[in-house]
Amino acid sequence: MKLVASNLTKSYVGHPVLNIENASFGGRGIEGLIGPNGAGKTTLLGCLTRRIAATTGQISLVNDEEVATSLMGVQSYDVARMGLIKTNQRIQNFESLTIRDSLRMAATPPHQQGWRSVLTLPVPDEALEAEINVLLERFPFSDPNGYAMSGGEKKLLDILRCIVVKPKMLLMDEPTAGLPDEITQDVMKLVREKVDAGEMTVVIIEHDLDLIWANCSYVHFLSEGSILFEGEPDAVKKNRVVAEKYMGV
Amino acid sequence: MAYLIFSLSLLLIYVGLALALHIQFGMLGVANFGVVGFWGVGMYTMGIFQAQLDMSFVDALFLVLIISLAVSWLMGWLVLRLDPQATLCATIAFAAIVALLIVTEKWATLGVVGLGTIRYPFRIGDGTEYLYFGFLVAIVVGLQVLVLRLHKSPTGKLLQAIRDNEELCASLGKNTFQVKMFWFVLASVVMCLLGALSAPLNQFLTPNMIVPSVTFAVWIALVLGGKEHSLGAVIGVFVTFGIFDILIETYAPVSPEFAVVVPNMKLFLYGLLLMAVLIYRPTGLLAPTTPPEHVWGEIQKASKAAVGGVAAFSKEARDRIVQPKTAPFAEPKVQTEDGSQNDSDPTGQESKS
Repeated sequence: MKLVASNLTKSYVGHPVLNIENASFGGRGIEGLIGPNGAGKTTLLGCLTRRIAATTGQISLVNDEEVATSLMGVQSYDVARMGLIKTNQRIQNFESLTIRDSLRMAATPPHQQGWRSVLTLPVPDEALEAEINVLLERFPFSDPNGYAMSGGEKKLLDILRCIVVKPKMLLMDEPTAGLPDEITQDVMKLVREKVDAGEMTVVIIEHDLDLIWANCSYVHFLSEGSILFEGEPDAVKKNRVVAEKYMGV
Repeated sequence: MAYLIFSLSLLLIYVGLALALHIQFGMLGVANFGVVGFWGVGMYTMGIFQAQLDMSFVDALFLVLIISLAVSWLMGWLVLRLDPQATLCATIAFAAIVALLIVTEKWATLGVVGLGTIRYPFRIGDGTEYLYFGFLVAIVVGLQVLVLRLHKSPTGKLLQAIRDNEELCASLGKNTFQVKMFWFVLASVVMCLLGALSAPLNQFLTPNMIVPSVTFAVWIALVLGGKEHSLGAVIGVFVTFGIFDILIETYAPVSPEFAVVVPNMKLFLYGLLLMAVLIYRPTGLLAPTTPPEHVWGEIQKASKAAVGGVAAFSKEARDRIVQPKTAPFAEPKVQTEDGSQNDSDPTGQESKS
């Protein structure tokens, strides 16, 4: 699945923050999106998932059969149902749901969550329960049957919640922010497994460049609202524009 | 006995309203401060259809259902996209509009003159009131069962997720507006229908029944009982309406000169109780996570604490009245040399400096 944006702009009260002529995400395993603070990375992901309405431009989702669907005018929940899910940079959580309920709620398809479920009280889906058990064994929560307590646990839960929804394309907004190092490594390992199995493609926004160089096979460099350079990690590392604008060399 | 049945029937109506509000506010997080508006729409449309147009109970109830669906849907469409404060204002305004229309639209409601008589359905002679009471019990038990099952169902978890973080929920592919709309409309229609069912209880409808204190009584009951707990609504109504309106107003040996004060005292005591609960138990008597088997224990604990609190408060008050410890406006006595009695600073920290 590929996400294509063309002539995408976003302005806040006349002040342009995003101006992208042409960009294409997906189809290259794990991709990175880097750029200095205020470059518009989160705004770009917001526009792509339709959480933020773009001022002008066109975004379309191209599926494996090369059929393009325009995302303009599509509600954000429908974008998610098409398989485009974004993890959050700042901690977002359902405070009154336990870790298990939270994962279950996210992964249950809408037609099993309708009002009829009040009458039928369906038993939890076994495959889903097994998947949740595997995840909770793999990642350490202080109380896997209780609530996510610390900021780190909530951040981890946010990422796991997106993964159990089985997205076709996962956009990760600063997955390392607020997560301990070894858990970030575990998360990236899980993401890599899913990507290698062909279940999803991933775009990561990250300031931790080591993580980008270690995991990404393609990197987009965003600065002042435009994509100034993109290519293989080695090419990006050597690029003068990137070096000047971002790495401060 | 007839009056007791009337009071108990009204109590059931309040339990029903609190359960509907529990779905709207406790589960969905929609602060509906227009409970009395929906209740009034149901009650007065029922009254108009029965008293003015002489329809049968069933026909009238069916028409009330259609009207309340339309009203609730319109309200949901108007308020559910707003932020919580705006929702609150909009629903209060809705209730005020309903109350005003009932006074002004005299051609239908007869205005302040009042509308009557609305007779009981299924009349069987002497036992009619008891039969109707049983009918209300069945409806409220049904509602309570619905709420209990809602808490266990995947839908219930979805509603809680929407209450906690709607944007996050939408980003996971949930059509939050549709879900909110469905349950808001359902709960509002329930409020309307409960209004329709309380019309025969009151028999004669006047605009002074459609007052904000109905909304507040339901809200106070729900918040007291525990707004997020499935049994909070019923317990809250028993603690407020049950104790004050039934036990105290009906059975307490109050001398006639004080009898007029009781209804005003009631609102005062509601408020006092609400403040005490909000200070000491912000979640209400039942916390959202209280398991069903602990509910009775929690109630016992809370009532012991309440009795203890009232006893301590009245002892304190009595002591102060008999022997005031401090004169309220006296100069603070600060005696530094000998460290003697220092009323204004009981810890004595300042006196050593």
